[in-house]
Amino acid sequence: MNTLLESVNLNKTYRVDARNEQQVLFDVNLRVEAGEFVSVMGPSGSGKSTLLYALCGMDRVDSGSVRFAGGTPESLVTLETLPEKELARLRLERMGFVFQEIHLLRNLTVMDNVILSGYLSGRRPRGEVNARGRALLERTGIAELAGRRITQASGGQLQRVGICRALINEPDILFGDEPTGALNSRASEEIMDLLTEVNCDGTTVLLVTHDVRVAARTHRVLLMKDGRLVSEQRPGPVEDDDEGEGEAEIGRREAVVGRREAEIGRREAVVGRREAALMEWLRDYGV
Amino acid sequence: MILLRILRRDLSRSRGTMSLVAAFVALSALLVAGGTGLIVTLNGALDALFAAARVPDVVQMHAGPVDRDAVERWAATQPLVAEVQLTPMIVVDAEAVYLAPDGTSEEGSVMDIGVVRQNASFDFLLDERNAVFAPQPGEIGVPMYYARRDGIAIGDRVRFRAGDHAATFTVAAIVRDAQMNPAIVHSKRFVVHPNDFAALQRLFPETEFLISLRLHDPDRADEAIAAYRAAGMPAVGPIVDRQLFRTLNGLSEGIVAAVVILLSGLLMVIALLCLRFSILASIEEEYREIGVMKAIGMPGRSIRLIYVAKYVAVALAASAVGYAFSRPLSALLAADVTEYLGSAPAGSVGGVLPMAAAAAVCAAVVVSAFLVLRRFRSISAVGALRGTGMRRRDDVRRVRPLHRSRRLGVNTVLGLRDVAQRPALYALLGFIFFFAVVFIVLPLHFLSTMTDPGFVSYMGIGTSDIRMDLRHSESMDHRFAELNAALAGDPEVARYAALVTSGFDLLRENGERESIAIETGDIGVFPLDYLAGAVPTAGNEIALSFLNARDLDVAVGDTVTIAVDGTPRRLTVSGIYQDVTNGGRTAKARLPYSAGAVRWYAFAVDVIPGVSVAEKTREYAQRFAPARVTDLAGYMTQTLGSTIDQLGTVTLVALIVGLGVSMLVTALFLHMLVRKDADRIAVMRRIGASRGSIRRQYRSAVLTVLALGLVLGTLFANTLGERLVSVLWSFMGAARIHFVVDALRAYLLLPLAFAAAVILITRIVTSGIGNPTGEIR
Ligand SMILES: Nc1ncnc2c1ncn2[C@@H]1O[C@H](COP(=O)(O)OP(=O)(O)OP(=O)(O)O)[C@@H](O)[C@H]1O
Ligand SMILES: [Mg+2]
Repeated sequence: MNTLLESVNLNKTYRVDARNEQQVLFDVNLRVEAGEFVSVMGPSGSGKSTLLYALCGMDRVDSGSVRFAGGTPESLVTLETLPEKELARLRLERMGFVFQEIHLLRNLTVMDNVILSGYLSGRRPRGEVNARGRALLERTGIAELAGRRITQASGGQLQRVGICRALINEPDILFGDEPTGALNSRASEEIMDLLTEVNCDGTTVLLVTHDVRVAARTHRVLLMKDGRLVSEQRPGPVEDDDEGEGEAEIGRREAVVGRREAEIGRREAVVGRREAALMEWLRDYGV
Repeated sequence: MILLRILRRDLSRSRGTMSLVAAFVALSALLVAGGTGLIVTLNGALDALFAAARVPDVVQMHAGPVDRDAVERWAATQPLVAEVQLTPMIVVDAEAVYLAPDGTSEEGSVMDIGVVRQNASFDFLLDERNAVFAPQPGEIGVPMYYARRDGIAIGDRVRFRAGDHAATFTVAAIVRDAQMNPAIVHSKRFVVHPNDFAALQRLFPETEFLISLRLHDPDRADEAIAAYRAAGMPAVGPIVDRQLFRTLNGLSEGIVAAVVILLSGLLMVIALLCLRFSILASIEEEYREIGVMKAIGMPGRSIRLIYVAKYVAVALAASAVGYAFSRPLSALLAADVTEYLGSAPAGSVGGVLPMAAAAAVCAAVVVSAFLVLRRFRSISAVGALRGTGMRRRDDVRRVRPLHRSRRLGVNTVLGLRDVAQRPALYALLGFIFFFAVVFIVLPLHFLSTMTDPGFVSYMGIGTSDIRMDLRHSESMDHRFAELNAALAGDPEVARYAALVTSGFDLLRENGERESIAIETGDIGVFPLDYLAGAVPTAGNEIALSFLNARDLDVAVGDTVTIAVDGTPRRLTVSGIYQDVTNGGRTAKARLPYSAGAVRWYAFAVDVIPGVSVAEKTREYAQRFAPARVTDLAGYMTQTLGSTIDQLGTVTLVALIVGLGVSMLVTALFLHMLVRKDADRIAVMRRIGASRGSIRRQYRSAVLTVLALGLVLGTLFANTLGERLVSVLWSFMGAARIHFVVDALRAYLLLPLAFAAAVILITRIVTSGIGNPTGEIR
């Protein structure tokens, strides 16, 4: 497996005012393989968002290094050495972002919000970008919203728009900071299904969340506490989870390929079990 | 306390904006108070001067003999008339008067020069201390106009020459003449001792009379004039009243005050626009906080008060500073007034009015702050918390979606869309650009019009290669004949016209006799553009300059009566042309000229193709030395040179001020816009738009607005502006000015200068855009 993103001894201190400083990240080392689906959990204020922003180059760190391979070994870059302009270009073309508050542009329509990054990067002809934008909206089930202004859509729908926007340039990695944080559990699950699909299509996903239901659906869960990564769990892909289910179960699953209900039922069972495990794990760390 | 914290943060965040607003308010207060101060001083000085001089209420100028007893008898029977006075005035030809230190005469001057004795009971000529000037024998009082023009000082000499005789006087006072002080009054009075007066009268026998009345009730001048006319009293000449003296005196200085106050009005408008914009921007920013305050039950009034307090403080401080500096400014502006009209008595009003004016500026700022802040009321707690409400208003307008755009760069399209989506917002900037463009383009167009060779058509002469002028001199007639012969025999001359301008008497309906300069000779050879009608072709026709036609109230086809060799002849007006030379009052006719009344000779010459105009000009200039021989461009610069220079300065100042204000306001505008759009910018930065990309969006928006301002401003200047300049210049003699446009400067360099300035400002302001992690509200 290729390492897509790697951080080495990240330290970050916020200066609140002239006298008060607060260190938020302490020697954070992290590695994300290409194709992985990773989540970071931790109590509020533990530094999850800070870490995420450092990893994607939105914010500079005090010391340490972030390396981003962007799919091929020769395209490896070290973020802290890049000038502002190239960081922006990197974010635009190789990374996608989904935020809790979706942060769409109010002066653009849904469709325009999706294609904007595509136009800004200018890597493809606009016709192609438009086609891809429409396909993404279609796939996320909100094609009929294309011409609407963003005030005319629900929170769950807007988060899908956010995901479409993040995917328009076919990024190597998708970052999410509590993408489901503002959604009810139903909408939240739909978004997680979507992100799982995106991951299955080959895009690496890194999420920050404090929802165990969300974390339970990822391959690997990192636990952050007081600015340090303190532990890690590897539930693995939900699809691979056969623990306690046996051959029979797999056979049954194969037999009912295409029967979504059964699949969902199975997944929920798996997720439910993992949730319980994660809860226990978190309790062990006093979170 | 949350409100104070917000206020402090707001003040520190908007320090730049607030200091700009303060600067505009202070400047505006400075100018308005300074202008008011000037008007107050002007008024006081006029009052003092008029009182000291005992200005007459009605003055009849009369050219001819007067039956003194008859006038005095009539005045005695009039209940309106308190006093009457007859002042004989010696009329001296301008070329007989030698004032300037370099010893040239006043020849060619537009002024009618008169010499008087000091009056006995009223209409006094005053010295520098506003005391009645009583010259000793050999002394003379020189009008302020000449003192200012030539720097004449007490002790200098003034000479009047008639043929071989001359009378020389020593300047003993620079006199203020309440009637004839201003430069726009084309009569000036010198004052001498009665003995000298008698001696001068022998040299210059032509005498006019000023018949002056003082009334019991100055407001009833009209009745007195009517009675005077009805009684058939001497009336060959204009009759004027005190009100006119006041207007004329006030006009020249009043214009300065008017310009200053107008300018302050403009600054004030800019200040208010900026203020409004700054308030809206900060409301926009504090929107959520205000909502929260409302949600927790704080009354809207006290929230508003906090904001108002800020603007009141700034407005008070700024207008106080402006007022403080207005005192020296007033003094500076009033220096001219004091010299011309004398100083005003120090009074209490002097200090109060400018202060009131500055206070009015302050009040306007506070009131407009209140009005804008009324928007607080429309903020609902729920709306603010949910992020709906007034914020949405920007986004309502639908424009062509981004994904339909094909060719233009995405940032350009985003900028264009922004202008289309928030037109009201960008209108502020558009207005400023529009005004700035008009402000610059008008003088620029007029300058290029004046420097264009075609401008001769406003000077009452046809277009020719060379122009030769022979001014009044002993040998003038002789030289004219010589030149005429030389031109007739010159094979390199294609055609020429000999033109003679002489003085004629024009007889008005009411029997008044007026002198009029009429050009005779080959008047049709070089074509001239006529406003109406055409060049006179028959001996009973006359063409009048625009100002003459207007004064005489005649149109093409009407008749005027001219005394030719002593006999009145009715001439039909065949055409009206524009002329800004010779005071705008000229005429052309096919009349015989009498050698005695010739004022000047002129030739218009065209050379045959292939002959150098410059060389021919040099040749004739050398051969006929005192004659003024110039090519047409040279003729124009000699005639209009100083006006062109002044206009050039005006244009340069307009350019600097216009560009400066545009840059300042653009900076302010963008600064506020970037703050207002903070979350939009943050979102774009996060998804990977570079700072340059956002900069290009704003640049595209601002350039779009600039383009609109340039197009509309230029259109305005070319249409209504042209008319405006024509109206102004109709006072000078040209009523229908057509702009000759210097396309390179007006349509290429000026827009480029604007664009460069705006791009520079955009770059500077947008370099402050923060990093992507900037907080999104
Ligand atoms: N711009 C900032 N300046 C100063 N301190 C900050 C800033 N941003 C975050 N912090 C502090 O850094 C710490 C970590 O913040 P961060 O947002 O990374 O936490 P988080 O784990 O994402 O929390 P949450 O789960 O609540 O989102 C917090 O204590 C926070 O107060
Ligand atoms: Mg966070």
